[in-house]
Amino acid sequence: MSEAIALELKSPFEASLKDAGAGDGVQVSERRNLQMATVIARAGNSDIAARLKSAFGLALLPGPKRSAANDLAFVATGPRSWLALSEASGLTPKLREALGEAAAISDQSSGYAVLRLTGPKVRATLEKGIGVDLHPRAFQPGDAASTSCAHLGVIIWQIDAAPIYEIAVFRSLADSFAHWLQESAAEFGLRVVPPR
Amino acid sequence: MTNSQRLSSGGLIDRGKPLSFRFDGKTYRGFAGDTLASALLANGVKLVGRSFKYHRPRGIFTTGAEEPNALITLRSGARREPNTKATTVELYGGLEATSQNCWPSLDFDLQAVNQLFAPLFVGGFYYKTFMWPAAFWEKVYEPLIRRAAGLGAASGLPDPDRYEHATAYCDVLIIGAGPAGLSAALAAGRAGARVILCEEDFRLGGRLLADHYQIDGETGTQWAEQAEAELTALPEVRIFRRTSVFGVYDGGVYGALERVADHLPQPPVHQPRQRVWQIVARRAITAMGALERPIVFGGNDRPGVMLASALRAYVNRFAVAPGRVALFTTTDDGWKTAEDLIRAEIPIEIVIDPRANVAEWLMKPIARAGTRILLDAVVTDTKGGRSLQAIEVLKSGSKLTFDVDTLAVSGGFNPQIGLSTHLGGRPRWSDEIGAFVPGELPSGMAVAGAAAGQYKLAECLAKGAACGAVAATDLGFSASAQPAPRVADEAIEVKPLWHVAQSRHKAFVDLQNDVTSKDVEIAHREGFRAVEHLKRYTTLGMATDQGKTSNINGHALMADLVGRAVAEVGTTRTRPPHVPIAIGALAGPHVGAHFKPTRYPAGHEWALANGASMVDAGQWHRPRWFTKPGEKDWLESVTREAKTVRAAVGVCDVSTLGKIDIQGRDAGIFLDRVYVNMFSSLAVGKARYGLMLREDGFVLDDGTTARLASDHYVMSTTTGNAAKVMQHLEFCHQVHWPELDVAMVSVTEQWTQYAVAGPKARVLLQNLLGDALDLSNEAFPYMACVEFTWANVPMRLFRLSFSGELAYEIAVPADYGEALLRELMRAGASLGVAPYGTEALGVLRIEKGHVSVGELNGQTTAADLGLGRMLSTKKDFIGRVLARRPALTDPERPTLAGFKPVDSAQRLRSGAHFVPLGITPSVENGEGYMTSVAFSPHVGSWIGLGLIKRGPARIGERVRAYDPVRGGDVEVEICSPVFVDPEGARLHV
Repeated sequence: MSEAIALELKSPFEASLKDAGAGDGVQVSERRNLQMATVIARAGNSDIAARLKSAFGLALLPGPKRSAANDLAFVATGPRSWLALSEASGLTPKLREALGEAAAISDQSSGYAVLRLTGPKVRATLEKGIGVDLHPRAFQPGDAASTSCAHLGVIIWQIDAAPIYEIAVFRSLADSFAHWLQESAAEFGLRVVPPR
Repeated sequence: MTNSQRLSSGGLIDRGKPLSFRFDGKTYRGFAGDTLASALLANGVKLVGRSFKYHRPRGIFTTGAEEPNALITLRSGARREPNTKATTVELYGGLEATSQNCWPSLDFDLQAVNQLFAPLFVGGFYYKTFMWPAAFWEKVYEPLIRRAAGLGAASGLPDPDRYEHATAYCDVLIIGAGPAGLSAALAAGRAGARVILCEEDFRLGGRLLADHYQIDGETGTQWAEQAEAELTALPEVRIFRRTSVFGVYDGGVYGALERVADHLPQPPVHQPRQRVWQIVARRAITAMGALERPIVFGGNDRPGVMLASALRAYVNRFAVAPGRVALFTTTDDGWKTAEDLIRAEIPIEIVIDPRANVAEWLMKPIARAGTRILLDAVVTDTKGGRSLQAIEVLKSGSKLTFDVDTLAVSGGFNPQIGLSTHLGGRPRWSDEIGAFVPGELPSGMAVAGAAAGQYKLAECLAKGAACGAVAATDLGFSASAQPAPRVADEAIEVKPLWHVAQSRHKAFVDLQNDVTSKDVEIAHREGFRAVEHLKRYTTLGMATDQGKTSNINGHALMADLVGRAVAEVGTTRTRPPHVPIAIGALAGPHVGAHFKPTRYPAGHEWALANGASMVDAGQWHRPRWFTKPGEKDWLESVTREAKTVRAAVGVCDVSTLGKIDIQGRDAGIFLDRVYVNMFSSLAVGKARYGLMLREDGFVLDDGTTARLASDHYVMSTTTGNAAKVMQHLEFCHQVHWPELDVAMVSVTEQWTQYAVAGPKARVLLQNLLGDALDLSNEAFPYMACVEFTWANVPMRLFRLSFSGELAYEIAVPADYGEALLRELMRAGASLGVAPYGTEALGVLRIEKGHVSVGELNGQTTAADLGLGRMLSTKKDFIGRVLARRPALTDPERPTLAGFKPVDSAQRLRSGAHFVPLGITPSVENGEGYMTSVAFSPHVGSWIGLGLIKRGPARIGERVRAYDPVRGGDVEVEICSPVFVDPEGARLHV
C-alpha cells in the first residue's frame, strides 16, 4: 500500500497563529517549507568560512550575525555554531557535501518554527518578551541573538530596517509562543499574513 | 453632594469634567484631575480610616505614596484592592471605595476600645504578651491578632485582569518629573541620548504643580507643560506616566511599575492593568524630590492634621478649600503654605513656629493678612472627636487654645533617598538641611534636586540640567549649555524639632503602625537601640508606606535618648520595592495554564481527537490514555491498551524523550566516558542501552544510543532529564575534554518518534513500508537501526523495546509527525492496533522490570537498580570512582525487586514503606519503599517495583507495604522484578 502514500506536511503554527486585537500594529507570517540545519564547527576546524564562500558564495560574518547569500542564510547561535536556513530542498546534504569534516550538520527543518514579524509596533511588542535591546542603535539588520522570550528559548535576527525580524522557536513551543504573541500584540493589533 | 470645600476657581482640576464616585456607599462628586484624597477633602470628608492598632480615627495626611493614614479598599468584587492609598488614586467616574479596619462603621468603631488597653499594645507587645503557653501561639494568639490588627482584606477571588512584563533600554533613566527631572530629561534628550522619564503621578511637574513658581516669567505649571511638549517631540525620549521605579538592581537594572489602567474602572480590552518594566539604563538620575516630615506632638494623628506642603498642594493644585487653619512650622517652607492660603483667600487663624527668629519678610505678608503669629511656641496637643476641633499651644509657659479644624505641620524635609540605598549605599547626615542625603551611590546613578537636598527651585533646575548633560556627555553625546532659567530666590531654613516634650497625649511617630514616642522610649529602655532593632521591636517604618514620614523622626528620638547625634545613630537602608507592588504584577502574564510554557508533540491534536486524556510530563503534554466509547474509567482503558500491546500491536508517542545528535571523530570515546558501558565498540546500524552516572556515582539517566555512522550517534534520554543530560554533555565537552572532536545538539524537536509494539508490530510496519525495508528478524534484528527515505521523507527505524514485546521505534521529521501517526493507525487497523498512553507504557515496563522516573530518582546507584554489572572495568567513566564509596556499595542498600500482594485483590501504592511482618512500623525498621505500581493484566493483580534491603536475595519472603498517608497496609511477596517473559524471548522473534 506504500506507493500511493504521500505524508502530509503540517506546519507548527498552522493551528495556533491568529489575528488579535484591532489595528495593524504588527504583521506576522509563518515561514513554511523552510529547510534548517544546525551547523557546529568541529574541533580544530577553522575553514568553515572558506568552504562556505567557495560552495555558496556566502561570506560568514564573525560574531552574533546573520550572514546570507542568495537563498542561504547562516544565523550565528554560539561561538562555533549556526542555524542554517534555506528555502531550497536538500539543505542538509548540500551542507554536508560542502563542509565535509569541518562541521557537524544536523537537520532541524522540523525542529524550529520560524515567524517573520514586522509593523510599526513590532518592537513595542517584542520588548514584552525579549530582554535584548532591539533599538536601531543597538540591533541592526544582520544582527542575531539567542535569547529567551517570556521563558521560551528563541533565536531572533533582523532582516531589514523596516524593521523585519525573524524569530525561531522550538517547534513544540509554537502554541505557547503564539499565545504570548497574541496577548502582547493585541493592544496594537496583530495581523496574520499568508505564509511565505 | 456638593463640593463644599472646593475653591470656586484655580487648580489643575477640570471643572468641565465632573466625576461621580462613592465612598462607604455615599455618592460624591469630584473632577478630572482629582485624586480620591483631594476629592474627599473637597467634599468635606475628613475621617477616612481607622488606625492599625488603636483604631483611632484617621484622615488624609499627605498627597502621595508616603501616605500613612488614608488607606482604603478600592473597587469591589474580584477587583477589590485593599490598603490602597487614597492619595495615589486618580479619580475616575464610578470609582468605588470603602474604609477599612473598622466595625461596625468608620464613624463608630468598637475596636477603638483598644485605646483603653494601650499599655498592653506598646512596643514589643507581640513578644511579651503572647509568649506562653507556646501551643497558644498558633491556635489562639495569632488568629486573634490577625483578626484584630491588619487592615483591608483581599478579595480571595481570581484576579480578572492581565499583567505584563517588559524590558526597556535607555542611555539615561530619569526618575521623577519635577523641576530637576524635567531639566535633566531636557538636557539629556536634547543631546540625543535615549531617555526614559518615569513619573509616579499622572501629570508631569512634581512640586511645580503644587507651588506658586515663576520660571522665566511663566508659571511653574506652564513651564512643565512646555518641557513635556518638547520631550514628547524628541524621538528618543520615552515618558512613562503613572510609573513608579521601585528597585535598583545590579548592572544598571531598575524595576518599575506602570499603572496602565489603574485610573480606569476596568482596563480597556487588550490592555493590562499594570506592567512591570525592567529598565536597563547606562546612567540614571534620581530626581524624586523630598518628603515633608511631621512633628511628634500629642494627638498629631487626628483627622485634620496634615503636612503643610500637602495642604498647599491640595489648595493650589486641587482647589480644595480648608476650613479654619492653623500652621505649626519649624521651617521657612511652612510659611509658604501660609502665603499660598492667603493668596487663595483662605484665612489662617494662627502660625506657630518654635523658632525664636524667622525672617521678617516671610512673616510680613502673613501678619498683614491678620494672622496671629506665635514664635518660640509649640503645639502640645490637639482636641476633637472624629476630627480636629482645637489645638493647645504652649507659649512662654502659658497654655493657649485655638479652635481650628485644620492643622498644617512642617517639620523639615527628607530627601527621597530610598533608591540610593538599594545596593547598600549608606545615607549621610547633612546638618545644613537637617536630613539624610544619599551617600555612596550605585554605579551610574546621580541624584539631582530636592532628592539630593537641593531645595531651591533654581538649584533643582540647574543641577537637574547639569546631571542630564553630564550623563549624556559621559556616553559620548554632545550636550550644549543652555542658559539657566530665571527664578526668584527662596528661604529654606529649617530647625528640626523632633518631639514636643511637653505633650500630654499620645504623640505618634509612625501613624501607619501606631508607634508613639513612648514606644521609642520603651525600645530604648529595653535595649533595642540600634535603628534596625528599633524597627523590628516597634514596627516603626514597616508596612505600605515603609516609614517615609516616620523613620527619621523615630531615629532622631532614639538619638536623643542615647545622647548621640542623629548622624551617629544613622538611619535604616531600604530594600526594593520602594512602593508596594501587587504580586499579580510580579507574576505578569505567567499565570494559570500559562504559568510555564507548554510543549506539544506533533501528534497532540490527533490524540485529542481520539479520546486522549493528557498528563504533564515536564513541560510536555502527553497522552495518558485513550478512552474508547463505553469505557467507564481510566483503569479499563489502560488495561485494554496494555493487553492490546501484549496480544496484537499498539502505538505510543515517544517524541518527548530527549534526542541528542552526537557527531565527530571522537564521538565514541566521548560516549565511553559519559556512559558506564562501552559505545565505541558499537557497530554502525546498532543501538545499545546506556546508563549514565553523575560525578558522585549515583545514576543520572538512562536510554538507548544508536550508531548511525562511524562518527554519528543519536542518544536518547528520559523525557524529564533531557535538558539536564544535554547540559551535562556540554559541560563535559567544554570543561573536561575540549580536545575531543565531538559536537552535540538537541534534535528532540526535529524528530517525532512512535513506538510500535506488540507481536504484530512487524506486520504493521510491513503493511506501511512495503518493500522499502527488509524487516525480517535476520535482516533487522533486535537493537538494529537504519536511516532511510520513504514517501520522500527521511526516516529512522530502531528495533527497541520498552514493553518487552517485539517492538520498533519509527522517527520522522516533526512536520510529518501527525501524518505518520495516521498512516500507522491505518496500516494497523486490520491488526487491531490501538494507540496507548503513558499509563499503559508504565504498566508494560513495570511488568518487564524496566526502571523509570520512580527508580531513577537521583538517590539510586547502578547496583541498586540491578544494573551493577553494566559498569565497565575496561575504561574510565564519569562517576566510576565515587560509585565505589562504601556507602554506595553497602550490600544492605535497598535494591530493586518486584512485589505482589499476597491477597491478589489488594491494591498497591507507590511510596508505601516496606517493614517486616509482625512489628510496629517505624522509621527505624523501614527496609525500603515501593517506587512504581501498576495493575498488571498479565499477572491479574496489582504489581510493584520497589527498593528493599538485599532485595534479590529475599525473593519469596513476605513483608508489609505500609502506607500511612493513604491508609494502605498490604502484605506483599518479594519477587523478581520481571513479571513477563523473563528470558526475553519475545524481543527476538
